[in-house]
Amino acid sequence: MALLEVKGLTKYFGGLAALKTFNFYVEEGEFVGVIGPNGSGKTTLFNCITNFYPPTSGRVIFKGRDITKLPTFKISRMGIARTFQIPKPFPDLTVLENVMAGAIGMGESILKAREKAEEILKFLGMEKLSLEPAGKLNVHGRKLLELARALATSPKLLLLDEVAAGLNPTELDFLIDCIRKIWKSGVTIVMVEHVMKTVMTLSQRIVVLHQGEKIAEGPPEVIANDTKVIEAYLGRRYAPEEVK
Amino acid sequence: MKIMKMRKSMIVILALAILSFLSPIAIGEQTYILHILILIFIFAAFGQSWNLLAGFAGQISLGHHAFFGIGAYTLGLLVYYHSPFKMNPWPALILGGLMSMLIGLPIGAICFRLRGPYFALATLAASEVIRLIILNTEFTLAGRGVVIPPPSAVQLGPLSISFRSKIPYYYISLTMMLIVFLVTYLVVRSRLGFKLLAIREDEETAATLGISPFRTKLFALTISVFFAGILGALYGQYMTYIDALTDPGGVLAPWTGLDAILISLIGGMGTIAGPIIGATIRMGLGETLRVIFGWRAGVDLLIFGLLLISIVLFFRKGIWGFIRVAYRLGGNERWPYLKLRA
Amino acid sequence: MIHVELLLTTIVQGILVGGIYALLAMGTNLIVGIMNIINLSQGDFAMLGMFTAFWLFALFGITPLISLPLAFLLTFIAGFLLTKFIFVRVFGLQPIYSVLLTYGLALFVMNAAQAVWTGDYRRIDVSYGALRYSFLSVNNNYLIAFIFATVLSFVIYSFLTRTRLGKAIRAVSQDPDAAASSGINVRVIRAITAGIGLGLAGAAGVLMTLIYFIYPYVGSTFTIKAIIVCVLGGLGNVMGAYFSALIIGLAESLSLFFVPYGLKDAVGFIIFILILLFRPKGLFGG
Repeated sequence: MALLEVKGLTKYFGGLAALKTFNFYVEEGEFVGVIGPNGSGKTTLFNCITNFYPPTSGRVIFKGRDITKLPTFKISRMGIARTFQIPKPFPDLTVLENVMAGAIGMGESILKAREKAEEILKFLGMEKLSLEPAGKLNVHGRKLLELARALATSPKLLLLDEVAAGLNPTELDFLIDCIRKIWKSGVTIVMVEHVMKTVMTLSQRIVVLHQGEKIAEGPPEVIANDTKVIEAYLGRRYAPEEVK
Repeated sequence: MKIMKMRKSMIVILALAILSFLSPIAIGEQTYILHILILIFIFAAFGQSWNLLAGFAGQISLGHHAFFGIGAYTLGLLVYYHSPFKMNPWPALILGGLMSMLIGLPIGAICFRLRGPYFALATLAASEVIRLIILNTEFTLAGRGVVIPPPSAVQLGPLSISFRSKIPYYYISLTMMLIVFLVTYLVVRSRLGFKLLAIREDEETAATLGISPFRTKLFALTISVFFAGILGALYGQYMTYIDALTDPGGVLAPWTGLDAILISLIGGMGTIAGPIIGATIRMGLGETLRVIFGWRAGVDLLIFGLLLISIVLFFRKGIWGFIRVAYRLGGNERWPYLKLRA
Repeated sequence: MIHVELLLTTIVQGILVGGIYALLAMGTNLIVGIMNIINLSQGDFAMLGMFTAFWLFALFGITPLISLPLAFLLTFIAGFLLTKFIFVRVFGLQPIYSVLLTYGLALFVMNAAQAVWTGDYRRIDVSYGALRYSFLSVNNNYLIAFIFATVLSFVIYSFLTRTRLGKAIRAVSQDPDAAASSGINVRVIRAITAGIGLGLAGAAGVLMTLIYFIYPYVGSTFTIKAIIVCVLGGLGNVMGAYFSALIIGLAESLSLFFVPYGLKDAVGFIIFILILLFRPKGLFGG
């Protein structure tokens, strides 16, 4: 049984369909990438899975349970964490406190939450920033903080929404490295991404969205050469060599 | 350095507490001063209960007097009218708090569905409904109010919370206030307080971290109205008269709820020490106005209205909030109190 | 067994009272729409309108209906000035401060009135008689108040939909930035709109003197009722507010068959809570 199953997920905003009977599954331990042109429904997918917006129809099943209508906080407690495309730190809290919030949300005591937060920040190389107010971080810091906070909720499934955007190559490499380590530690990851290098390097399997529908699915090399995918992106071609 | 600072504030607080307990020795039987102090203590605590909900949980209740009144009525009715075996006032205090909770929880559950100003409006409407029901139901003695027999008519002594001297009332209300303040402090520094701050910062994001905004707010509300109820009961017992009319001083008068708001705002909404400062100023101001204008109805409320407007326009942080931010005691412009256990 | 005559009279009376609620609510709606401020002092400005009518009547013998324009003007000016100098200062802040601000304003207004005019209950003794039929009787005071309220509501509605100024107001309500880019002076429009909003309260107050006693604290219940009507009708929906007002008036009237008189006001509040629970967009909104 797959860790996450999405069946017939549809989301309409007014008359516009952001997702059309989208089917999708993720096995435990997988690393799945979701790509697609802007507006193809990638972020909506995450929003519907976590019930940040309720889907118009369809079902989301996690660990065998139908979570479609569950309130967001319950879904988080069940083990799904997500990051936002535009990071949303708690600006008046320190970096450490932001991360602690994730652990506290899962029921940890303040002491344990702090220990955990310190661990995570160390893992991400952020200990020096622990006492900075989160509102003062730059883009790179905020993205990492977003990730750290999500990790603090001890997720089984991590949904990453365009974490790579706005980072320079060094920062990007570091991030990819961290994400890979997280994956290796046993967290299933679904990554929505625009920066091809990131998603192609890390994913075992890629799903391509276009105008709310799945137009292709398969390993990165196959997807990179799929004509439908290439058309969707208006002719930009990624030869297999460029992926590495 | 941090530990030294913490110790210093604790010493100051401890010193003040001890001073307060010893004060009656110096004050003696000056009933007027004692009366003012008793009111300050009760209303500081009442203000703090409102502050927990408004300043820390971010939910402005315009109907807190309802819970104050429910507590008072519970005590009044249980002890003096409807109990077949004359219940003792002490448990009735707690029952007043519990009754407030009982009624407050569903109201909170309903009102928390609403964002921002609509929550405030809903609490206003709900509290009016409660007041009108109490005013028009025979069980609650309608408009006649509950009269608590004066000390000479009942058995005197600590068991019946009925005393000729004001000094016992002084100690009871002081203790009550210290308890409320202590609990508020503990809550704010606990996981609950952490969650409340996260919710105030960004409710939706907090939800993605496993924090249930609804449950967390409800929890804060429970504590808030529980204390409001107990304090109302204590106030009723002390004033020996409980009614639901809108005269100032009445337990269910909207002005009583206004007091809680003013007290927190003046002292500093969202700070812990705020309400006591606010209560002192509010009571001091109230008495001064009474001396100057006598009982000419409405003048004090007029000034309080002006005060409210002025604070909202010019001095939102309140006195203690301002001091905290100015002297960098642990808050910022948005939230004057940010000391989490972190 | 309820007499048909009593039932019909009650129904009609309730609906007629609703006219006043509608006028008040229109003012509240305007202010909410233009500034996102829920005016907790609406009823108290209506009270000022009541007193305007009263003093003009008591001192100069002027019937209330003639005082209407003056009351409107006075409260309009108040609204205009308040917006320019006070309401602007809470615009960027958390909505809660606007609530506290108007709450403080209400306190100030009603107690200033109390201090100056005392809390005595006063009346304007002008009666327009009644229409009596076998199946129904109508108090003409209510009828006239209703007619004027409705006409005024309609006038304002037309003003909003057909005149340039009205359209500017609607533009600012919907999208202040876009309106500003089209060259509309948003600040002035805001002040004017709030002026009209409070002006309507003053006008409603004059009509209220035909029915209610006049005293400083009379406004509070009306404030909340106006808000209830706005929410019931769907915020910003002028037509919806009008009919919701009539519904509320009707519900209050009918409730008298079931609850003691003192609880009549509670009916509106309970409806409010129910609406917020089950249909926050209002009956006609969304």
